[in-house]
Amino acid sequence: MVSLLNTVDTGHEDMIHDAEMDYYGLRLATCSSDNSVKIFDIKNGTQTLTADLKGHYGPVWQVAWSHPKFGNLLASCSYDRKVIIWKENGTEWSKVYEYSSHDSSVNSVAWAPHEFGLILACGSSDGSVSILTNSPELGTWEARKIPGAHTIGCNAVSWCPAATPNQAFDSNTKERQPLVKRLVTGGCDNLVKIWKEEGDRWVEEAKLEVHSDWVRDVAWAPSIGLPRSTIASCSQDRRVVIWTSDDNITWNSYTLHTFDDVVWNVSWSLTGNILAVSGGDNNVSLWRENNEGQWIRIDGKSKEQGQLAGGEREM
Amino acid sequence: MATRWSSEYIVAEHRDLQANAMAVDYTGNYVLLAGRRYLAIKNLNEQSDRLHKVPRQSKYEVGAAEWNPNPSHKELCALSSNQRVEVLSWQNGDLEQRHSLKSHTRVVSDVNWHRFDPNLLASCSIDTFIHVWDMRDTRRPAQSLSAVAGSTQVRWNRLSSFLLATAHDGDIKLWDQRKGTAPVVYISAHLAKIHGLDWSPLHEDQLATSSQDGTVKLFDITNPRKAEGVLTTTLPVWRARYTPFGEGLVTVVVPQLRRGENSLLLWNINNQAAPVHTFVGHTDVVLEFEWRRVNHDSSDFELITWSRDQSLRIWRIEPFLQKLCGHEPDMDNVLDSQDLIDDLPQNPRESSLNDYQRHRYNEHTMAHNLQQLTLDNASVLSEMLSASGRNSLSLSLDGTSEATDDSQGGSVLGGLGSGGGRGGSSSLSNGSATRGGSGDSGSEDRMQSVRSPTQPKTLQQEFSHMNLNITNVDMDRMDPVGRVCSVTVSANGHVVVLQISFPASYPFSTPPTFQFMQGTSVNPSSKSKLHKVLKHTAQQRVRKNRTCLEPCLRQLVASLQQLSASEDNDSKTTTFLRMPSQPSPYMDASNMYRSYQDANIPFPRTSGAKFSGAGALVCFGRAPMTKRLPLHSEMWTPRSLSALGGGWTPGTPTHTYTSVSSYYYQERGQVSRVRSRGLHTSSRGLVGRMTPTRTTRAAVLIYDASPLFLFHRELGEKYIISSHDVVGMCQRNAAVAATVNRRDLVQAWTTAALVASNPEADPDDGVPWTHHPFGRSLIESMIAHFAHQSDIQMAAMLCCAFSPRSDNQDINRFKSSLCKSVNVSRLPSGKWWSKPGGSPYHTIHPLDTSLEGWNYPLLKQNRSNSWSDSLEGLKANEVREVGYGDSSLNLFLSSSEKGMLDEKKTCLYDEYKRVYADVLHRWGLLDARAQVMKYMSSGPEVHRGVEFVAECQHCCVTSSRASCVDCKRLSLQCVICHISVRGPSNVCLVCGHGGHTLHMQTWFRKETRCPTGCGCSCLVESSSIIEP
Repeated sequence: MVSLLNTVDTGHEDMIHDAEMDYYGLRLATCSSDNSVKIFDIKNGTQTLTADLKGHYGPVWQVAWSHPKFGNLLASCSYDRKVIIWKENGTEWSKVYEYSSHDSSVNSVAWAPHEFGLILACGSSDGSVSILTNSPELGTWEARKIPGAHTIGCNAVSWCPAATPNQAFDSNTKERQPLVKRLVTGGCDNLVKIWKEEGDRWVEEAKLEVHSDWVRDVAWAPSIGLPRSTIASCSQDRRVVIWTSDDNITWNSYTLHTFDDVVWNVSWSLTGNILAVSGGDNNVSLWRENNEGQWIRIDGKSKEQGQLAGGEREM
Repeated sequence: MATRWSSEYIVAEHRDLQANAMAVDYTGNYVLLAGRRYLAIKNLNEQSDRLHKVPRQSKYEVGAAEWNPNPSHKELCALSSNQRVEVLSWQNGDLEQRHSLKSHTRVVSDVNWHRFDPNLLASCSIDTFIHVWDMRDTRRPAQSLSAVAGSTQVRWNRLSSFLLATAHDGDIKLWDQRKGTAPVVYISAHLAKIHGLDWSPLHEDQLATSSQDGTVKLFDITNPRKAEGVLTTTLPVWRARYTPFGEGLVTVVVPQLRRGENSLLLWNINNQAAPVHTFVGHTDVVLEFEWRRVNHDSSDFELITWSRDQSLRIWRIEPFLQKLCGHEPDMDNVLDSQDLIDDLPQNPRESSLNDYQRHRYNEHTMAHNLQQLTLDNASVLSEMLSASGRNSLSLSLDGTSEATDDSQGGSVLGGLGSGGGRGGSSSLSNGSATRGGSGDSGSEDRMQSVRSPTQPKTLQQEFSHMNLNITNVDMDRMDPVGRVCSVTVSANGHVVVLQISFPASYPFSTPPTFQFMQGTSVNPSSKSKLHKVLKHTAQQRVRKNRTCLEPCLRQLVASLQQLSASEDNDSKTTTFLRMPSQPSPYMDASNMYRSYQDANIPFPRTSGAKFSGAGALVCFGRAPMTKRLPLHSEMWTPRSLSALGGGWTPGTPTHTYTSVSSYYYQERGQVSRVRSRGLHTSSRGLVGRMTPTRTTRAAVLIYDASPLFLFHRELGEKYIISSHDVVGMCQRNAAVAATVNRRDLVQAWTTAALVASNPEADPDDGVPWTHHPFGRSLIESMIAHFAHQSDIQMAAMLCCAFSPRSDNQDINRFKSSLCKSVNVSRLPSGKWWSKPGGSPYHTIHPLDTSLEGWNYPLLKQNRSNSWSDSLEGLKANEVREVGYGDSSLNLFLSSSEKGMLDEKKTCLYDEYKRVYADVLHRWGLLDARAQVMKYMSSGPEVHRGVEFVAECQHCCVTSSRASCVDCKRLSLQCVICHISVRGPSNVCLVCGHGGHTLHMQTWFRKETRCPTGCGCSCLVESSSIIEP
């Protein structure tokens, strides 16, 4: 079902911690313990290194591409407590903004849905979440912090899609309500928290408690308009939990699976129906909800097939 | 505080035992060594190497062992083995099994005898139960405590007979035996796993925990929220035990973690900054240690240790060591060791001790302290020599009597008072360099008081404590006297022969000098680069008075590898030696501090998968090595970065020292061991030499995941959207779907085509086609089905097909005109638009009743003229508000005006289209995207600029539409030609009159006053407003 398109030898000198392709799937950004971020052009099974961004002084944990309507922007976050926003000008990449107000490693960065403008959320081990907003007129960045979002530390952030589902029903009022910004975060307090912007403050809207160990990653599923919010969270307790809600206030949890090792990455497909899960066992598995509302693994039968080995993977 | 060093005074090797548990009995006479194959009892008071060996028929290792601490049952000994606890009895030189306690369902992780009741034994297991056994009835546990989490340690309180503590991962639970249903206190002690637990022998409420996070925490159980004290070490701590004297604590590192650091550290609880003493000697990690009294009335203690190097060592704890822990055997008052040290030169008692020690020291030719208890032949002796090697410089075989003779105690110890120890060892390495009088060395000690606990003091010590197992490094010569060493480093075909000379003042702000020797194979430019790296590394260390040999060598290896890697690639990638280009403020934070901080930082992801772009799945992971050795289910990846130990050093060269990759090959080593030996005691495992292979870099794999999705790029390219001919569109798209073998879609499109071509219904049938089960509801359920399946392509396409195409200018106006025209046009035909009551307002106006007629925009022109004044721009749902006085009309309009799709769901359907447009955008199909966007009921983006709003001249109500909502007059009417203005217009800002720009221009070419005759001199007035 899934075929290998490219094997990119990144040339990183140490472990890779994140890799993401841009909106069109034409470029790949990777980041590594060797403190660098690399950008590759991917075309027809070949790749060329177009940039090797050095600016972090510690392992780089995560990268994120912005929506192309803002240009080619890439955000990266690192152990060195910094968030750097890189921009491509012509063929050159340069730092456009560096944010260094966190007191500990920054573990996660995520761009807001483009409808809101150019906004970046960052989660740090100092427990706080920062929201950096770009003002297009001035070109400046304004930072707002949610201090103490998670005690001990925040490990992951993810944005709610801009089209909130429950608005789809308020169709009698022809005017669309202003979109509400929401964030989901996961942290070392074993909690998943949902935040909502109210005026100029971010308030905690819901606190989801099921995990029994650190939450490693959270992902808000993209919406196709269905009146339902879905969030996936994964944790050190080796579980992946799917959270669903019709009103963003009461959430139901469903434990997808308990894996063999800690799970540290969940990612939704574009339409939010397939979930990719990976963790400490070096495996990737894909999950889909069937018509009975049960989540089933769709990438074959045995573990070995999901193994990220050498490049041969058949599913 | 300076670190003292000492060596053991008795060593016995028992290689054949392969024991991994040890226990000392109540009397201190017997030591039990337990392994998988043998149990052995050794009498410590006998000066022979005789062992009482009992073979054991078990395929399981012994996990924990303990003798009964009560004199009445001192012969009993408990062992844990897999799921059982065996109770053995040692009587008359015979070891026999008394009981086998079976109730645990998983491996028993720890056992502990009750401190006062000789019949009680507690055992804990990862099956989450803690069982308390009574020896009088061993068929089942006397009591079972159920914890939610599996527990790794259990300890009875040493003073209170009801209290016991258990460790569960990073937490401590305290139980009261009388109230066994739930823990009475819960302590969130550590973020990482707790390896060891111990109650204070002096205070009922005090508890020490040792953890993977490299700390030992002291808790007062009456205040469980906060640790009373924290001892920070650089490495994960396996055990921390209180000393039976004073307020001391002894710690050892986790067995499997790291080779090279095998010492036991003695701490004074009142001085948590650094250990007060180090017991050096084991060549591998210490597995177990216990205390014994030398004899019952003496206050002397001995520390008995069993290491993975299969040697049993006994360390005499001298009174001065006890004093360091605040214990004063001779005096009633307890001296704080800090005071003791501070007073060192002034304190006559102390200095006389030093003098005495130095005296003894010289007398006994320095090393003196190592005694061979055992050993039958010379080969073992030489082995011993090489094993304990550089620490102990001479052996005295004849010293058995000396060793046990208490009066000789002062001399038997290597680590003397600070002055003595320093003088002694430095005199060995270098006759004069750092040697000084006692006062001198005392002050030096204070100068270096900030040093890390494991910091060696002399070159001799640095050499001896260096980890010689660095990959690719061979130590050719180490000459502490000449202060020179030479090393051969080879990596990827390059060889570097390096001679390092250490100046006398090294390491105090004086770096060693590096010199490349004959045989070095790198070119001069690389040489200078390497030299720079070495110098930089050394500088960084010695600036803090730290030794630098090992970091330098590791750095050299790393640089050399990079060098060759970059040469291997091509010149495109620049040679990147890890040189910090700019210091950052936190770079200088000490290792310990950093490691402590890392406890909150999650362990780095080393694999992942992300959906990106339109249908790509980007995966990355570790090298395929792990495939062969899949992780054991018990062994999970640690959660925090601190598990890597040491801490990462952003930007500094020591970064390579501990990185995730190093963790991974270590882990593999562990895993192999665990697998080979069954479930438990992984942490006490025997030597499994890890082969440090360089973790190969894994590539990033990009998969095409689009077959997983129901939408298809080819369909996106080929689908057509045509609202003029819905049937044709559906048929065409059905054919397109057939080309990509999507029969389900062919079926759906065919059905859609049928629905669109509304069948000739019976004119008398009162139900409009849209309300027919096969009409709107079918289409809507189809859309809902596809949306639920996440086939956003099909859902959006159906939405487009059956929704009116928006006329990007003014959707609302268009829609209202549309629905009115529909009414008008359908009424005469009377076919499927039933009209309860009809509408008197609708003049019959026969139109073409072609299928798509109702959504054909041109109909606008053919509309009935009876409402001509309100023709333009009435929103369908505003019809209601306006109210024509005919409610039946409104009802009629609201119920059946709409097409195939329920208007209530417009937003939802728009969302489908938006998402599909986004998918098309990602595919780069911009034309197709634009087509879809045309069908959005609202424009793609809300206009946010300046908007022109007209105010009705008659009722002063602003309206953005062509007519006033109140009076229905045209809101902007040209004062010259009296028709509504579309297009360019100009209005006087004062009187509000205006009209077509062209007309106004012509008028004001000649006139200055308003054409209406209102008397306003528009040109003048307007300009005065604009330019005041």
